[in-house]
Amino acid sequence: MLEQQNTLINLLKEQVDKNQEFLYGHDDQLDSSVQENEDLVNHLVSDIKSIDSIDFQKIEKLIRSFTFDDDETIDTMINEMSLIKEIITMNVEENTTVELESDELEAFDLFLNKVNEVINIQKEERASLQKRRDIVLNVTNKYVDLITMLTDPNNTSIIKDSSTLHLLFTKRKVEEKVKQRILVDLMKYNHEIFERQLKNIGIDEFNSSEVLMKNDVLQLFEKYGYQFSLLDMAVQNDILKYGRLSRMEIIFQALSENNFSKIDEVSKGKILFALLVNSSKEIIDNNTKLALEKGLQPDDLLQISNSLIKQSIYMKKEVEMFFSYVGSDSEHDLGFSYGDDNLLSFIKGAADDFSKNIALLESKGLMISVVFDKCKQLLVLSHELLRNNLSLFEKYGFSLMEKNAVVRPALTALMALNFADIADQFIEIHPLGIYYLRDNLSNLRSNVNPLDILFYNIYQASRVQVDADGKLVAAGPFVEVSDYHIVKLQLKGEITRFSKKYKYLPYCGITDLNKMEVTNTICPVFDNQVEYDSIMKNVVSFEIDDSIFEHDYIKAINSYSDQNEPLAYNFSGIRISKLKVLRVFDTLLKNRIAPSIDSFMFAVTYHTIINQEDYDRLAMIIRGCLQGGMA
Amino acid sequence: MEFLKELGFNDLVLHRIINSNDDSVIYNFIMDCDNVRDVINYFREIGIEVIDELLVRRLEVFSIDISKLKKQFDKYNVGVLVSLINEDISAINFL
Repeated sequence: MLEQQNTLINLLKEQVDKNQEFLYGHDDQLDSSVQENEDLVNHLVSDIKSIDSIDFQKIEKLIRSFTFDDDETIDTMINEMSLIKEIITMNVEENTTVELESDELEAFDLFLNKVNEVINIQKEERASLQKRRDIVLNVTNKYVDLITMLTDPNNTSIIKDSSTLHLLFTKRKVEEKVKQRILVDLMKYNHEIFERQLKNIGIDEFNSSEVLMKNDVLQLFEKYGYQFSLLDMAVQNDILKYGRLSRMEIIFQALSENNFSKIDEVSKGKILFALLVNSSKEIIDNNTKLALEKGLQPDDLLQISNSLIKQSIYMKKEVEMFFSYVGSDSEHDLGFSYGDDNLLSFIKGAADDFSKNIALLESKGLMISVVFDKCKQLLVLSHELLRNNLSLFEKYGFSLMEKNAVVRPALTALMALNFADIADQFIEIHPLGIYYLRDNLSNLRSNVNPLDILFYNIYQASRVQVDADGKLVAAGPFVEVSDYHIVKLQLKGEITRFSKKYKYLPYCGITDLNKMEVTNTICPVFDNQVEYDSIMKNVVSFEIDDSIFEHDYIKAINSYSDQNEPLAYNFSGIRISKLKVLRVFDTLLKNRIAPSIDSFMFAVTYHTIINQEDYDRLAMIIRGCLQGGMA
Repeated sequence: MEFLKELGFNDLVLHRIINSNDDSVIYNFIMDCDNVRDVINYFREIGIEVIDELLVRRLEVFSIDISKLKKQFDKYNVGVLVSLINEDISAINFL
């Protein structure tokens, strides 16, 4: 471990602790106060006699927090409420039937109104705190990610999140000298990772044993019908730097033996470079043979050229990009680039993924030549991602076929980076959402963020709105369109994108910055939010244990299954994705989170776009279910 | 992906592309930058206004061979299809 690595880890831990103090401290206090006041109002509204059992000091304290023009009104209200309590207590204890006078009832109503005012103010405070909390939570997660990387001896990822580091230095008021020392050490750390990556793929020799002579390389290229000088100058330099004559000769031979056409030096020079540096005869032989068996031609593989490349490596660009941060005050993330026209900075190997994906897709009855024709990228997609997505595809009941043919949107959907969250959001956001998704499966791939503006637009369009004459109108986000006599749902143009037709104006004024305010929605807060978020962020598998179906909490809400849509619960009009609740709750339990109303509500409302009123209603129903179910 | 900057796309679009796509898809997109350039220029020519969104959300479309892509567009009334895509990029699925 480098000298300054510990200093950085300690700084990160200190800031995480500080942030967690903030995240936990305020919310508990404010939440319990809001809850207490709401309980008080609920009790008094349902039965005025309950004042008998309420500690008057609590009432007096509450009245003293009310806003009145003068102190006298406060004293008057305290006296009136005291009198009301005395009368009711007397009635209860001595079985008398003294009735409250109309002015006493008025005073009581005023008291309730004032308590509601306090509750509303507290809720606003809570919402504002919540916004701040979201920001802190997000950055805390980034700090935790850095700690995880820095403390993992097997880490192979380059530290590239310079904007988070910059924020940490500012928050911890790190002296310039210390900051520079840490950054220099981080450069060394990144260099070590880079060297480790090169070593892992066996091309570390370029540093020591072999210095390529340009003439030798020229001759080798000529021997196989290539002109080295036609390559981009940066590619030429990289070949001289990273290439090895013996390895390159083997690759040229393997390409020739497997009947690959000549790779164009000008337009495909980078593909040639990546193969020469990071492929092998074994991979070219095996994967070309496999491709031929599945009806593909060798040259087809050059369209997904990383099917012939072993492992992923970062070339030098990322490390250099990080260096450029040193001494810079820019808050821009300068840490990462995928490459440019002249220089290849990142080689993504997918040889293993290619063979595994073919086996998996065939096991689902798909013809590989058809998959290549319609969505060739699937063949080199991360195998884990494809496996997860195929499993989810089945769980959500989607079909890869339409009229007995494999359809491109379905294959596209398998490339989704956030399949489950997006499917859940469509299920919850509108009763027709799941039907729209089935008609437009590629949406699973084209949307990554379940809290994207698109979903707030749909949410807003689903609300009943009032027109200029005060008439109620249901806007509705969908339209029906006909595609070869098949009627399909589409989203209205004004909802999906900013287009010229709609004068590039955001729908209903909704932007990323104001989406919650405009739609009047909230982001619920939970006691153990940091742990829950961290678990959900790091989850890699979406396998749901069968045992979760038998969990008391899940059984307790079974009666709320939507009658029309088997994938959803319907809590008095609030749709919640069933698979989401199962997946999230199961994941929390697997990560040693205790089942509680807090953790269950987190699972139920995970990424749900909801307003305060609906949330309160949902929480009340869920509490009722759990308390009833547990009794 | 610096070549995208030369075509007028800013850092924000590049970041969104990186965050919305699997590494393999991005890698092959970069490797195919000549075809990508042709597709972008063709899309601009026929009036597609949502190229940013297509890059972020449907990167694989830019790896369809340009001559194949043009043939697919020609099967439709190009103006109508372009207008549909401008309203909702899902309409690219008609291809």
